Amino acid sequence: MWSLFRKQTADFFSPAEREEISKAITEAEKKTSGEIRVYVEGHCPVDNPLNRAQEVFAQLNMQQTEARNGVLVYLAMKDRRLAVYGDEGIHARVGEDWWQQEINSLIARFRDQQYVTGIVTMIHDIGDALRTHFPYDEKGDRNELPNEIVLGD
Amino acid sequence: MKSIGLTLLAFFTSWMVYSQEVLPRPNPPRLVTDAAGILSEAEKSALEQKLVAVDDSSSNQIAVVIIKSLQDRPIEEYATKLFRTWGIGSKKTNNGVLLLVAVDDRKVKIETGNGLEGAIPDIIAGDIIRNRIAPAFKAGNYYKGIDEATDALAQAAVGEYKVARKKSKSSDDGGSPLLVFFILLIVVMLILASIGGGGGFGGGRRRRNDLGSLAEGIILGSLLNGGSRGGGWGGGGFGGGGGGFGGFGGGSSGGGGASGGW
Repeated sequence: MWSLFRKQTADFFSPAEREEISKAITEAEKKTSGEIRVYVEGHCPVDNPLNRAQEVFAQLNMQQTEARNGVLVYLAMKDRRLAVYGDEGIHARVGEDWWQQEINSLIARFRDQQYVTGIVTMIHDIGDALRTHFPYDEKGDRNELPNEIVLGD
Repeated sequence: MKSIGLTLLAFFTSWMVYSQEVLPRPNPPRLVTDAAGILSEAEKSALEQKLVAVDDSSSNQIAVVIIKSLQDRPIEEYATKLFRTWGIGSKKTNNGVLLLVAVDDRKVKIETGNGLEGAIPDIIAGDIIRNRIAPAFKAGNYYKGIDEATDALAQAAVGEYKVARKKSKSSDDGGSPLLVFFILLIVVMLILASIGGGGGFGGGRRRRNDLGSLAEGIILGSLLNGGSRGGGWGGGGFGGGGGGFGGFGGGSSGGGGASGGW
């Protein structure tokens, strides 16, 4: 019975769409030491999606990047809530207004039901910001965190 | 590279400026120090006794320090400095917790030793500030806020504190027969299945004021690498929260972000 619900969550994005998002992350993480992840679930269990994003961020151990430059895009599809949370390294550089601006454009896309386009565009924007502030280390960057979209249960 | 160096220098300079003296360690040592005089003698000794008992039974050392004013220093810096100079917690296990209250600044900070970072992560410290301290402080009841917060911290330190969660939607028909419940469940599942991915219901229902939740997020959103977190209470006008830059090691600026609904 529970697997039915879980399947629902997984169905928010088709395998092809998920692949597209992963590819966007891989692309965005090129030439930067920063890390991006996307977490999707149906319902946000707490009032403020930003708090949930922060919680998920910690659960995924995303604070373990060397430059503290992990960014999590959080989506609660059924509740139609979303958030973006950046670690202290990147937050100190882009500031609050930037996050809000990114969230606003993502919301605009989601209202037009352009879910994947919205996410991919945002990932690219975050990638650009990360590249500006955390350029790729010449000695080689390792992919500190997986690029697959994470599905909550 | 040069600009990074300059930024580091700027951090360092600000750190130097902020690293002024903190409240001296009480002698004889006490776990409850009220330099602002907001607690009565009876309240202080009740808290002290409770915290000594926690220390005795679990060896987790919870210190409560109340100061009048931060004198424009960031609470993160003050807490880190005080935590270090006082040496809260055992040296070996670093299992100390500092609950710092700056009365005039209306700021609270929970600073956790490395040994308890896992047991009292950000999310729990934030929950304690939000749900235990803020409501009581807003009502002017400092003792109640501190008393409940230290209880929660003691529980969290031994892994027994659970972050309050909003119950997910469920049927309210507690008294009705099991059969009805199952039929409802099946109906709900059918609806869920038919609606599928893109749609969704209850969009507006749970939506909150975006600005409000953003502000809350910023205030409570400082993810510090010491496993500690700051917060504030009071009716609005809190602005940047604990933002800005910290120094090296102990104090560093928090993460942040934004949220909304569609």
